[in-house]
Amino acid sequence: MANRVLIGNHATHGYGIYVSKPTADVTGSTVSDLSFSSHITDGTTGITSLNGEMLNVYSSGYTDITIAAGDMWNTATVTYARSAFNNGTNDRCPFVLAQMGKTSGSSPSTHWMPCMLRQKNSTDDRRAAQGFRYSVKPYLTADNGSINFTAFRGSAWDGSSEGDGSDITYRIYYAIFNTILS
Amino acid sequence: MANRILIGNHGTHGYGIYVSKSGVDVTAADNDSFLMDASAAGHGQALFWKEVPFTNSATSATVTYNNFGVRCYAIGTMSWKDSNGNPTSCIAKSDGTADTLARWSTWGGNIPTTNTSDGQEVAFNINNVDNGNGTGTLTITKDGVNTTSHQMRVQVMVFKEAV
Repeated sequence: MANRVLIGNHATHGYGIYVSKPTADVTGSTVSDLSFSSHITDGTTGITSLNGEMLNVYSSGYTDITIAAGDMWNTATVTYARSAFNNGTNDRCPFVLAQMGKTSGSSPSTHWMPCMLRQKNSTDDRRAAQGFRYSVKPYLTADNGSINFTAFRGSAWDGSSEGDGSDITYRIYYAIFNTILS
Repeated sequence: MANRILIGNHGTHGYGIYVSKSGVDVTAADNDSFLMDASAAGHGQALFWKEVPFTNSATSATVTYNNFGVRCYAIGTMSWKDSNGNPTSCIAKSDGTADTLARWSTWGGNIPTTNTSDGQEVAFNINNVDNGNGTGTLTITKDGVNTTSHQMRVQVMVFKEAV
């Protein structure tokens, strides 16, 4: 059986924690044989290395978006304190992921990753769209960053009875990570 | 209190290092409850998350990095010009200073737009190459219409694992 875990001084990579992929020997020098490595770094000009940081979650949650009968889109915003990503001088930008559940509740029947087709006419009232999108404004106010969600459904004439005839609520799940942009 | 760390022979997953989530016994068989799982092929370790700015006239940019001999997985997001102005950098901002033009998204604005001067139709693509010498190169290219008329920024994150 291969050695799978090394905690200490790796002959090639130095001190740290190393885990090899199944069947690979953790004492080998090939980095791609390691499923986890403490030694990752990159000194290339223009690169600020994350040094193999895992995507550790700072916070996560959800927000609901209700699209009214006859309408085909609506928005929601989540804010967070910028100070959580401060380095003593500047606030920084966190990484964010999101997905949308088809209906609200603890177990939505379908989840979508961000995707949206939104086409409109010149008067901006006839559109075709489906899905959702999100944007991150890390410095929206002096104290807060925001995550802005827009959910769409079907195709409709916005603001008219041509659209779906009843309200629908989507649930957007999001996760804010400690990973910082450079 | 649950057992949280196992270094050695897991009854289900074999030798390795395992860390379970809070409140979950690490000796259990369900590896969906692991923060670290030695039976996995990788742990999603990030190499970098970099913002690449494009001037109005720029149509492409390259980023070279240490890729450890594999074509690493890369994802990108973007900032784009809208009716409020050109996008500003999302990297950092002084305490207490707001910047409403700093924002990124999985992609840009409305597709198509009725106003081709606002840059909302600009998109991007990423060509990801293993150079074969321990480095990789990302070539990021503006896509869409009027690509030489609008500023944009692309934020690209690269992971250690191969595509």
